[in-house]
Amino acid sequence: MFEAAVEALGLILQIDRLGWMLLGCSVGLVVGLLPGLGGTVGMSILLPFVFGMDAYSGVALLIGMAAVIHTGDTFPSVLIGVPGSSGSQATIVDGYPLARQGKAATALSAAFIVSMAGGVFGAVVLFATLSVAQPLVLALGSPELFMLAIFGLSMVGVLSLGSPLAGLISGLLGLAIGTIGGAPGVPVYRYTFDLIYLFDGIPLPVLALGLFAVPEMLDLLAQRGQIAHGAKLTGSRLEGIREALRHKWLVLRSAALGSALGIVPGIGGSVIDWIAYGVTKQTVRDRENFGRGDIRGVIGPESANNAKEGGALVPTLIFGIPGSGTTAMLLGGLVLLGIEPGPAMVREHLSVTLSIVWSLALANIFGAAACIACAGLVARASIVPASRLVPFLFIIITVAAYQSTRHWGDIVALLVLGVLGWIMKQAAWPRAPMLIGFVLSLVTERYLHLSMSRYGLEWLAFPSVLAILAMIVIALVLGLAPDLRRRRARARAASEAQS
Amino acid sequence: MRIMRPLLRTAGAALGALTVLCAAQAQAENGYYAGKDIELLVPYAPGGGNDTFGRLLQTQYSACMPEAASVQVVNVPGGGTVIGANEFELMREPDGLTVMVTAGTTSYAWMLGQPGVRYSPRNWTAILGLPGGGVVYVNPDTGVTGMKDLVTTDAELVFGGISATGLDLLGLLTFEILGLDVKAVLGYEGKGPAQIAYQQGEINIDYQTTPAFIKLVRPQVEAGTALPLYTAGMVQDGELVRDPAFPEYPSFLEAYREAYGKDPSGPAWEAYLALVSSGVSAQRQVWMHKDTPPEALVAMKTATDCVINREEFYEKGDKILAGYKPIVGESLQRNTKAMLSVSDDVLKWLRAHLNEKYDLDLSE
Repeated sequence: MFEAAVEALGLILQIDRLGWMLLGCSVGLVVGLLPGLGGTVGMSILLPFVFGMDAYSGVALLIGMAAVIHTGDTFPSVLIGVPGSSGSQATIVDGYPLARQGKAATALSAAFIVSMAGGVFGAVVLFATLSVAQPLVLALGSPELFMLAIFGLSMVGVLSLGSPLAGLISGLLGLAIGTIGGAPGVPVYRYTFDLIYLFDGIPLPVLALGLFAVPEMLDLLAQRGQIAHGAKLTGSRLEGIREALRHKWLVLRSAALGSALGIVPGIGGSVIDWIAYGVTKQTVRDRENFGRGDIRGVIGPESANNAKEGGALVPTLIFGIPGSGTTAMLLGGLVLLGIEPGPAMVREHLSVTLSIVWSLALANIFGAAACIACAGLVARASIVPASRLVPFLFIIITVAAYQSTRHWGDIVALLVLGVLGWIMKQAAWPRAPMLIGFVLSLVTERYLHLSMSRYGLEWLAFPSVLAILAMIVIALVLGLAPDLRRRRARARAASEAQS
Repeated sequence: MRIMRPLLRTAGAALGALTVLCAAQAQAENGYYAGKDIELLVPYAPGGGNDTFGRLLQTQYSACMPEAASVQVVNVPGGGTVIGANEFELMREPDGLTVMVTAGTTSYAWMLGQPGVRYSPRNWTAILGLPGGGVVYVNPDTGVTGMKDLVTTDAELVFGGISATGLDLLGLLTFEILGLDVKAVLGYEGKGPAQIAYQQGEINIDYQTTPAFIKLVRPQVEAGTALPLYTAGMVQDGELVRDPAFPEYPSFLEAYREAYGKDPSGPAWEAYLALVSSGVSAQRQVWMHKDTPPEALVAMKTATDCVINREEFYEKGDKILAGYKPIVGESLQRNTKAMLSVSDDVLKWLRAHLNEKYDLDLSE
């Protein structure tokens, strides 16, 4: 295997193939940088060109693009509080406050370094698990996948600390919005009011932009002035790199979590950053500053969302079953290149498979290096007056939303959800739970339905199901206990003061 | 000024000559599509089997229609192909510039009267068809070793699929005709995840289309963990014959004979034949509007003949064609006619069956 890996590196390091990879990287960075556009858009740009290309060059091009989406998408998340793609919302929570304190360069460079580390970690995981992942994926039946979706939903609890009721309602609302459109298994359409646009449900990018981008821009306009308070930049790139090194165990932990969740088919890459954020918050000390510009809130999700790409490629390559929208299109791209992913992939196309691993690792390094080089310059966007920045951004996100289905319904949905997001922001209702509920809605329903129709109630007693349940309970206790303790202490203090 | 005039005149003459030349050029390359953009509308997201087929066609039509300015694939996914097919029917002019590439799902949605369908293949004309097919296989763990066992077994048979109205309907109908008691677990995201569920033991009887069977199931057949029972078969002149991709496997008709020693009959069998005609014998279809200008239809059909005679079409498309030969002309027209003339009684029976067995309320 290692010999073959060295050989594959030689195949990838040829000048024309490196050129294709760099081209893919550039497309990926630009697409990631533009708010709301993600891997699926990048794939639709590149796919028409790969038909008939030599397999290694095609792989370098496609993987080069897919690998760096979550590197480039950090820019808008940190700088303007607008998600760069559907997988980078969690970065906003702490990254954007850092930018407002003038520390955009610190947050960005820390994010890029850990994105690189996470991405390379994901490539290593991909390499290590390719030949052994089959039994692992086969161990996850419908009941286990349902429980993993519940694990994802349990993050709502951690992400809505301080306002548990509002968080719960927000999460439930997300679940409800997620049921719009076709039901799994039957040609039944729900809450569509006979509008064909709603048959496929609200597209995720539209929901993400509506909830997070529109409210931010409205507030920016209302406040006038710049994103960075006092229009001063105080952070530096070096400081960001130092922060990343200081939290190396967090980087590693999040990368492991991200790639492990990436392997699970069907969980959807778009919530992995939130899960990583939640877990980061649960497992570190001194968490008072989270949500107000704690660098660890940037490091955790950024490491995980690049690492998940390596994990997501595992089921894609060895089963031919995509774990996300991007890998679904990558699968199509590989077929166009004459490679049929499936159980025989590793055996029949070993050198192509390994060149995918290398492309993933190299593209992550190139992408992060390019981003760090630009970070200082791009950080200045946070001192551009809002009145000049916002109209430009508004056009970009409208176009991005319209890219989802190219139906005017996208624009209407963006506006409606934008108003909803703005009201929630004004009322300080957490919006992340709604997004998590939305993304996991269909998955939760699908696997609950499959479990019930296959096993009745028997599946509730499966050992694997109970094990995941125990994991959820532990995670919730770890995450909620300190805050409950603090609240109780505060209540006691208050009652003592009274007496 | 005096010097300028002859210069201008020369330039004018040159320009005139150029215009004439260009016109002549256009005349030579002529045809309805000269300088026009052709869109291949694919009602699926990029990346799937139908999209790959669309992109294969894109390169081949481009090569066969050098006079056209461009041939592009446009993906209009959603609603189980209903959104794209509606757009083709309602929003695209019948000017021959939009051509739609569909699979069986689109025809089934129309036949069964699924909600949201605003199109009718009766308004279209097919210019290319590609057979598909599939295999029903069972897990030997159930103790089933052949057709006779299958119809008498006490083992619990569990089938996994996407929905009872898509291609899974074919497999489900064969169980109905055989009188099997099969538990249908529906709602998987795709047939790929259903195959994983088969490997996990969550389900133990499955139907997979030809490319997926070759890629995923054949290694399991070799390993002895999957037993192929029968193929869906192909309808040829009203008869169900063997699938050309699997000449070694019996068609469903032969399998039924082996189990019961007689031929199947009744509304379920008739419905099955109708579904095989429309979703298997020409699983993928390329459509134009019926009222497209005749010269556009002729040009497109000529181009299609050119496409299916190119070696590159078969070289680049060997995975997606899976050994099937495309059908055009007479036999394609016969095929679409069979699909469009399914009797109302059969459709009524199908809807009632889906309602009774799967609790689906489909409109008339």
